[in-house]
Amino acid sequence: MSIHSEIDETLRRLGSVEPPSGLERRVNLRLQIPRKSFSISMIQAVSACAVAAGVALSAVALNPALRSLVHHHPAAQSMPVAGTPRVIAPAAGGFGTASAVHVPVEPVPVQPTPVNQGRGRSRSGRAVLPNGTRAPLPRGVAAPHTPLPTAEVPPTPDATH
Amino acid sequence: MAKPEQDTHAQVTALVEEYSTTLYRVAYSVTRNSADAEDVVQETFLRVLRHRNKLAEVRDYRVWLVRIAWNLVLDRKRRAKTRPQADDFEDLARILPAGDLSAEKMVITAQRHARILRLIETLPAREREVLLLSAVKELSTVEIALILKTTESTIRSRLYRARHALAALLEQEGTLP
Repeated sequence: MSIHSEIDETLRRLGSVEPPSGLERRVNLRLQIPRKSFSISMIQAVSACAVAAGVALSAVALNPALRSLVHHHPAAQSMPVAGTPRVIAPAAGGFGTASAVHVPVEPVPVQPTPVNQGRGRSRSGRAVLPNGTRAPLPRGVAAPHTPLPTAEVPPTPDATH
Repeated sequence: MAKPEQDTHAQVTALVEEYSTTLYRVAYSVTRNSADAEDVVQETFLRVLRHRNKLAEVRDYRVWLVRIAWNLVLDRKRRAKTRPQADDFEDLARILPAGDLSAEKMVITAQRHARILRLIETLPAREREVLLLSAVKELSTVEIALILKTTESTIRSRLYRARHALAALLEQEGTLP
């Protein structure tokens, strides 16, 4: 047998090798796996969303019911009526006192309505011109560009007529 | 909603039925190992499934699939850095002629094939690749040119050079047993 025919024979046999039986079935089986896992993960995601939504809805729905349960609880009947001042014993000291809740014993007087006392405002809240003419005016304050005539300036002779 | 997905899957299943053997032969020509060749076939179709949105654009499925399998098998070979298992008798027996050969003749034939396959591995990469693809009986020269993204005349000249180089190597080693 010549060299070339031997090469041809080897290549022919190499290129016509038969695959093991059931190759297509195994490939198809392998292709099913990603699709199944995808569908399972989708189902899981949808069910997780449904559970989360259910929990949220039930929490909203049960909240007033829970509140009413608290109000109808026998222990809740002894609670002071709304309007009476709550008296809480001051912290006795010790560890954690600084971060404890401090409730004033006497009622705190209500401050008068605060007025705008920022920059460029009087104590009553009115806008005032700053001392320096070069200083920028606060927003919303209008001022004439030319100085107004004062009474101390004597009138010109022509103006008397 | 699920109908296009089912259609695509049916299309891929049809491709598996039609082209698995060709892809197996392409992969086997490089790996010379049955399990590795089957892995390449499976990986090829997984890639197809991953890029199923491109299925409508494909003109020639055979060329497209063989190109995917070819790239996968070359990549696998590059990573493995190992020679094909040409001396594995169990796999080598797959390319032996079937029939009523005596045990002695079987051994001689296996040695011849193993020797030629070993020498093919020593050829330059471009010539070796063309030679191996030309061995796959389903592939024409035009298709090999499309798979390797070159011209048909280039394929023919590489094939000519490969065959002559292989013959020269065999002559150098001595006469065939």
